[in-house]
Amino acid sequence: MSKKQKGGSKTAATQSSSVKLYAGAGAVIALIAIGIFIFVMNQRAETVDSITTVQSALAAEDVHIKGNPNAANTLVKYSDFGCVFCANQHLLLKQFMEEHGNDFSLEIKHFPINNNVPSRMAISAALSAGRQGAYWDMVDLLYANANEWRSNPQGALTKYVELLELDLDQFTADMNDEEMMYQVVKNYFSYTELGINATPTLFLNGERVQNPRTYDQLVQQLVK
Amino acid sequence: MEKKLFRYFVLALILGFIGFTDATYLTAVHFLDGEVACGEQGGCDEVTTSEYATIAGIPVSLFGVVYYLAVVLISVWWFDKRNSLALNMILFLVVPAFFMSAWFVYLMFFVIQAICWWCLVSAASTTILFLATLYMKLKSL
Repeated sequence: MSKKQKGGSKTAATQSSSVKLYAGAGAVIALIAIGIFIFVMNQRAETVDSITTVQSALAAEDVHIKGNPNAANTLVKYSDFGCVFCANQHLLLKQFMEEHGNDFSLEIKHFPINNNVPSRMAISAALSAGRQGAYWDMVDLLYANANEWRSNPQGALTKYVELLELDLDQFTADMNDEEMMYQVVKNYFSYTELGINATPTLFLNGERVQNPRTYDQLVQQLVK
Repeated sequence: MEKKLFRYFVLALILGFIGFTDATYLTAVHFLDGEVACGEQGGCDEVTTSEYATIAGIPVSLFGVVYYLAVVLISVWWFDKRNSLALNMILFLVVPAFFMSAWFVYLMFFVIQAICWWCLVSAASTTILFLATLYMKLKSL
């Protein structure tokens, strides 16, 4: 009887030490998770939430506004053609502008993250297409096919030019416009100075709009 | 052997926690739409928002969270039961994890051409765990 009792209490002791072990590991995991959550939320709060003036270094012909340019509501999106979230947001904004284009204007400010070369080339392609009146069509294609133009820039761009029925020689000449590229890079650095450091960053009348996940969320945030 | 196993699982536990912290951070940034804190030369955002950063819409870092969590739990289970099966369980996880890490490091350096320190820390943790596990397995043969 006593032996049995002893055995029983030993099991209980072992059990309680295992419980402590698992509880300890669980507590550490929970602390890490909570700490990270707070850290990320704080960091997010530090990102720029309003912007006063943003002047583009680009020539007027290279600045493209969608919707009603005189609308009271101006949307400005800082974006990189190679960024997945930017591409998703572009689809939401495209639908939004189709439905609310009379009351809103939309401008994409090109922000190639870390001044990366493939995205800069894509910007150049959009602006070059813009000189032949196909800016927004090229923008759609570039957002939708980032994989393609990243791995095969030459082939992909030639394909888009054919698809949009643009003049390839003119397009190539515009792509090689060093002044335009210089302005794109200059813009990038001036946006960095404004505090832009991530894409997409969306502003409505200069106020930061949290990136929406769904179309309904976007409408809710923009239409008051 | 028991002493060596003890040291091994202490190492596995530490690496598991490091990896878990790392992967959880990247996952949190992904879902909370934050931005990855990165050094001057780092291109974390470029890596973590690249087309390779998600598999069927699931961020790769989330797989990392599950994997490192499993490493931590298996190690804790070993401290509880002292069952050498734990070593095989970690081996089963760390071999694919090591090759996935190697593939991602390759993508980072040669395809995306941007450096994400967080991803490198994870790759390093997995490599150390992989080598340690291999060493323990060969020792026990």
